[in-house]
Amino acid sequence: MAVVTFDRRDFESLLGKKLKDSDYTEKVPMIGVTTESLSSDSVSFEVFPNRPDMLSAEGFSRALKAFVGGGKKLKYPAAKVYGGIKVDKSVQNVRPYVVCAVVRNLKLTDSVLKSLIQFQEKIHETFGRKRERVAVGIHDVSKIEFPLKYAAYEPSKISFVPLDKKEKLNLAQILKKHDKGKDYGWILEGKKKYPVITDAKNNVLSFPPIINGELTRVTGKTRDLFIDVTGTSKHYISKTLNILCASLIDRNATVDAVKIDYDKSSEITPDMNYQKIKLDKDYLNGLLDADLNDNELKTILSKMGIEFSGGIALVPFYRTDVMHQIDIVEDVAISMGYEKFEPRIPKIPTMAARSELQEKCSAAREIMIGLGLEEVVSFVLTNNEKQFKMMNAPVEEAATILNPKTEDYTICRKYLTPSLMSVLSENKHNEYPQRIFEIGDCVRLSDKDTGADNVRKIAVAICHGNADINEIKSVLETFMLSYGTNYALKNSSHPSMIKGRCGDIIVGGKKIGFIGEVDPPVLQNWGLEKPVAVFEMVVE
Amino acid sequence: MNLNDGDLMGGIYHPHETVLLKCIYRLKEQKGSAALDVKTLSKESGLNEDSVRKAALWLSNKGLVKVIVEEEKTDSLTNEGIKYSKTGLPESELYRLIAIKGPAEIRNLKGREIAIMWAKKKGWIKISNGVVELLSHPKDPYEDKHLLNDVVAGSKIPKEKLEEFKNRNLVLEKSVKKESVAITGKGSSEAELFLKAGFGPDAEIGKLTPETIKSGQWKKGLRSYDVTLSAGRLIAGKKHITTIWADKIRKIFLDMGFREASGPLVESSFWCFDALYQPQDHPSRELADTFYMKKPARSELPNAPLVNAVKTAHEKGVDGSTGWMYKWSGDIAKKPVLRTHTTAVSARSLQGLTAPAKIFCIGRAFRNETVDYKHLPEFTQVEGIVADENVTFRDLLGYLKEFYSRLGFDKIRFRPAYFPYTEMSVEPEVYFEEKKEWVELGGAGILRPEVTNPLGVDVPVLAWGLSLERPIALMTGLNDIRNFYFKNDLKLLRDTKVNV
Repeated sequence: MAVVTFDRRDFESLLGKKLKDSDYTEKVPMIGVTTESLSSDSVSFEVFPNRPDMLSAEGFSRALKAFVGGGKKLKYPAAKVYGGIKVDKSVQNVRPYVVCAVVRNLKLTDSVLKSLIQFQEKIHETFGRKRERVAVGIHDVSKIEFPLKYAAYEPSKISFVPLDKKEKLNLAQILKKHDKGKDYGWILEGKKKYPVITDAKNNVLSFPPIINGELTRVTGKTRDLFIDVTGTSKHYISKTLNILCASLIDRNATVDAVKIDYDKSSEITPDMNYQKIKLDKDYLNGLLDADLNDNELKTILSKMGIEFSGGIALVPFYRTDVMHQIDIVEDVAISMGYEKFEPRIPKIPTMAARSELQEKCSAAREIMIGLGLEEVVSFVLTNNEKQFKMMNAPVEEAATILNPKTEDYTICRKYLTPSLMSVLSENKHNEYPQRIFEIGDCVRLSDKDTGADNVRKIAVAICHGNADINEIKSVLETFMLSYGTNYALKNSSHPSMIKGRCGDIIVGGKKIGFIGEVDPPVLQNWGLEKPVAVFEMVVE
Repeated sequence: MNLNDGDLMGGIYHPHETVLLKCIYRLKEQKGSAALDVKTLSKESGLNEDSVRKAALWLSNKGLVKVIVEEEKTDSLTNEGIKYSKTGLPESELYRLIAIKGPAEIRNLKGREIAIMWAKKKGWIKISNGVVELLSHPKDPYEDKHLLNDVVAGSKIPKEKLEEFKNRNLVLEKSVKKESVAITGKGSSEAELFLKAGFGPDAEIGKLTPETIKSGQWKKGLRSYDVTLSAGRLIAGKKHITTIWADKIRKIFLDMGFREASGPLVESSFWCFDALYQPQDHPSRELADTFYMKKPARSELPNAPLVNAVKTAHEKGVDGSTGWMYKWSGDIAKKPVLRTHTTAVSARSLQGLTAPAKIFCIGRAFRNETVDYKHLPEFTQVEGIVADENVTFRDLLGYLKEFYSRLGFDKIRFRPAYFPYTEMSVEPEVYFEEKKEWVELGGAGILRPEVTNPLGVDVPVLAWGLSLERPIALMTGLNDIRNFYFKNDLKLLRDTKVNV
């Protein structure tokens, strides 16, 4: 989730209204954001990813303006069309789409510039998926001669002076030497040709999604801007351009369109048409348990910047989150205020049911507690070192993590005993005797659809000066008697247990676990100085 | 003599207390010993060490003695040190070998690398052309062995030798807590009164036994005990704190008529994300947030109609939705993950569900987090869903209010939120009395049609979830959640309340 910080005075002037501190903490969150921090100079909000239009001070204040009432609604005029940009077929396999706009008469004050830079950064990070899906370039239009060309070139064939550099670099060099190239070069990995926007004089404007050229740098004196948005999805780049244009219109600039010429088709961007969503009133009233008529809906939706007439909701072009009429229903609920909906419990006749496995585990737990054992709960995640090597057991195949962040968590456990050994080793400073048990999931590779299964197990470990196989055997015997399972023990061996003091637990002719006294070398591996006796078995 | 008779400060004494106090007093008077260790006191008083400790504690609570705890550092041998204290150090052995057999080729001395290193360091040997030969003759090649034995005996050895042994991991410094007891002025005057009064531990009968009952000895009078003193605690069998809370929540759901569901920890991306309408390039699906599996490397997708319905929902939308407008990949959906939320279980439960239905799940979920006091790679998630033809947004808020109130949070408010699979989305906030503030506790919403429609569910589905650890942290003040799972600190667990 993105956190944006606005200059409070600028924000409130955009809003056309002074807000009290309490408005920020109580009212603003009801539009669906969190106020992260607040001072007399600045205010930070956490913006949910479905509302990239609120990542800019302009867009945020626009949404809030409608919501809290006040301020006049801005018109987004259609405008002159620049011609144009030719999209070459060569970009198809690299970065197929581009949309553009020209913005005129913008006063680039400090706060405008700051807001613009922050917006660009945040939209790249979130909505733009770190520039892979969407990348924005902003240029001084006075340095550009139309028409433009968007095409892909071999990395060594074209060179220009990128932003913040003094000398010409070719595309491959930029990826190696420029900070932005190092940060975003991964997006072009494996591509033979890289995308570039050039103008009529063959000057390079931009090498998207990496860096612009120094030539078209925007400064405090720039009045007219050229904006390019490139990416892998036409929908997402169009929405990004729309959000940006709306913000700049809010700053009293005018927006002109640009003609985009593909091989066989052409279009004019930005497309500032409303998105039309048919709203089924019964559906809405049913879900909200309300009885709203057209007029009421009109008023309510206007607070969210949405026009409503003739059963159709007209969603402004900068909104990106409306996919289904349910999204309009939510806007109605937010506009009315969640506090307006009286909580109610319906009468839905259903039968409660515990899962059978939980029942079994609860029964087992009751007995263990009656026996004076203390329950512990540990992680399913572990590593080969703890699960096998410290138990002096051969490493077995286990469900394994592809992308572990630390060496502590690389596999899912197959056995509980190592977890109990770990707990004992963490508790050497605490009072003995320590008689502990765990009921928990292990994971086993299997031929299930997911390739692995949960296995619920139960294990007991007893650790004190006199702990031995006899004590653990009486725990097992008492447990099995109370639980009601007939079992047998068979002398056997186990790599972690003392030879001749260990056995298999057999139920219905099948081995379901083991019991034994832990081998002193294993105790030493865990730094334990008192004997430990354990059993572990599948919950049947 | 009645112990409650005024003279003796009105206090009640355990016989061990009077014995110990008199003993300390006597030793101080006779030998001038200011502070006495537990061992000496045990020997002099006839009480065992444990009783001495307990009695001293009680007496110190009454201000009659002072218990002084000091740390004493002692050196002891490690396992390796013990071995060498018997056999001599490896370089000594090497010296002996060469002294007897003459120069040796280094390749014949495999396994004696440590010995060679130390013998060389001590200037006993030199190596030329791969041959080890003696350079000098130490006065006593087994001097270090004797020094190790001196350490065992507690004798002082040269400081630099001690440091060397520690560096070689032959000697380990351990600090031992040493308790000693000193009588206070108040204690001395009390002890004088005891001596004057002349009563001792034999005056009356203490423990009532089958014999004393049978013989009638108890008629001599049974000694009074101070029942206000602590008798020490037992170690009780107990549920883990997370089980206590999971059971509480399980009961709440069952009382409200919910059925319990469960599902696999290793889950396909399909059920964990795709079926929940999370686009395939969604940030929460990134490697930085989700544990992907190396083994198993692939999971199977469910039946083709369901897969196609989910694919369509993502690409073009269903039920009038625009969808996410991208090309959906079956290969990505096949990648197994450790489930990032139990909502995967809900998704499986929803498939072909007949309404009305109320289902809950309490289970482990995993996030590829760096561990700190707030974040763990594993946590327990609690989740409930309600599917019925007539449920509305108000019913969602109703269930939330009821659920949280049963959990112990009576004041609740609802804030708009965002989750990719719900709309309306709600963040419940509960009022936390102790801190006098609203805190966010979980998330909720009505599942989007793009989720329910492909799963064949045509009624609204309410859903909410929260992490189990969060209310525990809030309600118990145990803010470092690592203590629950990593350490399972038994002291902490023994001290936790069961009645929640």
